[in-house]
Amino acid sequence: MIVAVTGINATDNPGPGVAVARSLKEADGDFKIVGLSYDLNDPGNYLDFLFDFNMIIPFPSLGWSGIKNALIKLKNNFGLDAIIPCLDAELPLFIEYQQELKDIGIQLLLPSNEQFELRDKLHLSDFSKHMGLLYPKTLAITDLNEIKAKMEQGNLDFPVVVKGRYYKAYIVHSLEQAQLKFTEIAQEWGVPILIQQVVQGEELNVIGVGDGKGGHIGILPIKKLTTTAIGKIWSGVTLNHPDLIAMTEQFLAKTKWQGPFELECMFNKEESFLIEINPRFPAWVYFATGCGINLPERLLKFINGETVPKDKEIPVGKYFVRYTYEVVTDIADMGKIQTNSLRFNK
Amino acid sequence: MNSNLKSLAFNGEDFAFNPMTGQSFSINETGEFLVKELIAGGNSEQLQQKLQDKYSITEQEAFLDVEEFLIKLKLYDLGV
Repeated sequence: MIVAVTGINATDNPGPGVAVARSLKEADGDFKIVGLSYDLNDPGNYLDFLFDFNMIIPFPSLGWSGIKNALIKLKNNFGLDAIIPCLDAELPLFIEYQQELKDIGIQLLLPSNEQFELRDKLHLSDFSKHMGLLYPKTLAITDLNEIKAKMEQGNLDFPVVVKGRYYKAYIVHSLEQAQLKFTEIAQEWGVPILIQQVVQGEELNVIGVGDGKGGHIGILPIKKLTTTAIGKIWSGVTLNHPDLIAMTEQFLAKTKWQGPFELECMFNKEESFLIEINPRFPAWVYFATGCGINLPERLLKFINGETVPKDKEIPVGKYFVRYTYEVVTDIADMGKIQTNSLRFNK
Repeated sequence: MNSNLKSLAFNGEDFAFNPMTGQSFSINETGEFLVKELIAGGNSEQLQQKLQDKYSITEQEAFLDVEEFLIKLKLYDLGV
């Protein structure tokens, strides 16, 4: 089976693609893996032990036709049976046009447009209510000068979290800090900016793949033990947290979620909050693979109609730690991609 | 019973792990013994007695050790 994977930017702010490819390389099935990239410098373009073929594709901001044409070219010249999109910025396109890809024989497992919209940070408050879960008090603000007035109206006091609709979140302790971070995030990601109540507790995460019928084909709850300066996991441990598992099952049952997901939750003694739903694999997806729950492999088996193993129990107390790694290659390898937008590795 | 305390898993090498929160602790053999007695339902007096019997220490030493340990458990949200 030939599978394309995006998000192969295994940088200090890593995309999940390299971890997905590594999972597939370690799978039982015979997968040929294509690394799709938007940037010549993405490390995944040079990991020939993981990727059989690398290809540069047009940015999602340029619209669907460029990506679609690149995928058709790939299918016609190399073959392509399935794709696992891994980046937030491209997901709206892949979700909208998933049927078009299925029609030309490229399989994928993604949430519907409706499911994708539900988990938008702007809608998460209503969605949490619908699920009977708590969501931190959140204000959507478009004007820097409205922060103070809106916080007073909304009964919110500092500290608060200032977060972008798609990326970045900072805890701030004063109006000045809030305005500074508002500007910083707005410049990069636009408005609205969310001002959110800080909730105390343990942040816990779950990775999984929904089967589209209210169940799943594998989940793994974890706690991030250490993170980098930009909040990315560096080490973590698997958990057996019945309330977190119940929350995940409730999320799946209510949404009939289809495809990969990551839930970010906050638990304290009295309350539990749903903080974020990511509609894709997180970059730490290999953690699950290392624990015997190979979610990318299961996803592909599932869309192929094959039997997916059921986990009798969650592997608890498994420890994950990242490390840095270097690859030395020839500049000509970069040149091949630069000139042709693609390169065969074997 | 504190669910955090009840959930603690020991590896027999002075290490305990809470599978619900991901927290881990260094804990010696005596600490492990006391935690297991607490989980089994022992109160502070019973723990003192068991400690005296097991380690041949005085009543006062056992009292101080157990009280100090119970305070430490509370600090780590493992109090009974």
